[in-house]
Amino acid sequence: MRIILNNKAEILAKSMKDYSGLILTICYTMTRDYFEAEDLAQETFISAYKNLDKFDGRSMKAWLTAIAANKCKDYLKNSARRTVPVEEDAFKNVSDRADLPDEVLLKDEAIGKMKALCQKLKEPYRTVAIEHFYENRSIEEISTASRVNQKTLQTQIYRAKTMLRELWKGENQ
Amino acid sequence: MNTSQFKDSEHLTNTDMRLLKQNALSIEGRIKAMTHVSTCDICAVAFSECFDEQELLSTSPTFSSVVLMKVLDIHEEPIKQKKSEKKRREFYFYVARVSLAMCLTIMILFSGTFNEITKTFDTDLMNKIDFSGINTVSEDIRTFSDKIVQQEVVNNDQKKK
Repeated sequence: MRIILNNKAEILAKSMKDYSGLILTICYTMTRDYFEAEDLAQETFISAYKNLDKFDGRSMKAWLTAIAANKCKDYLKNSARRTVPVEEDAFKNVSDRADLPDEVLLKDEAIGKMKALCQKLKEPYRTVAIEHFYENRSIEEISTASRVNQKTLQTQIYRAKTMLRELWKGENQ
Repeated sequence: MNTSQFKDSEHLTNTDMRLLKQNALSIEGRIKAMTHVSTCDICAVAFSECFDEQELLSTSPTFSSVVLMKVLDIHEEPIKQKKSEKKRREFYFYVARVSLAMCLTIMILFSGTFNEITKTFDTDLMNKIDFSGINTVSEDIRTFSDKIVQQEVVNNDQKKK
């Protein structure tokens, strides 16, 4: 039982190492909200872990993509239910945006938005948010550099995340 | 209409995927596309391949640890459930015992069982109890207290004289 458990955890850890970026990007593509995307990506891996015995062993990448797509579909359905669509918006003409430049990368968009939103926060949350969410530095790294207690940083990051989540939602509406 | 209105049975074209990435599809279009990708292996592979390595977002440093903690919670949940189940069962058992005791008390109280018991109780038994010892003791105490009162009266008279 323990061996199976460890094996499953190892598979999960490896797939997160290999595909967490891809799954997060897919979820971000569909939600355009970094924090919602992160939640969906985490749910994808948890779902994969729970249903690992149903995996046919062919392509982990495709299997995770399918699970992420399913999660995104549920999220989009819920958000569509929450917002009453304007008639024109529901049938948005894609040809208007079909000529958008490809070089506008999702990554740049997400990173730019994250930085802009972090700048809106008050101190001490601003600095912590920039270091953690924009520069991707771990709590340990920030703690060593700033000599601030890890527990304090955890609380600050948690609060900053809640504020950023709200700000991001506000921007998307 | 256009590429966003593809049928669920059809595979996603390269244009569909490009439009998905550019957020150019309506919400209905995205739901349809995701419904298809979630059930079609070919499109799942194609969709996962349309993202270049350099355009992938990087996860936050806590991403993996949060997932692993949630996975651990999945395993601990049955144990927690068992514990709370046991506590609940104990509580129900206690409630059942108290209810049973209450029911029996009410039943005995209103069924006239107590009256029956008192009627059938042998009243002669009460008379048979020997209270002579108690009577002697209380008589002695009374005599003693009378003596004290008398002595006090005598003392008081002498003081007055």
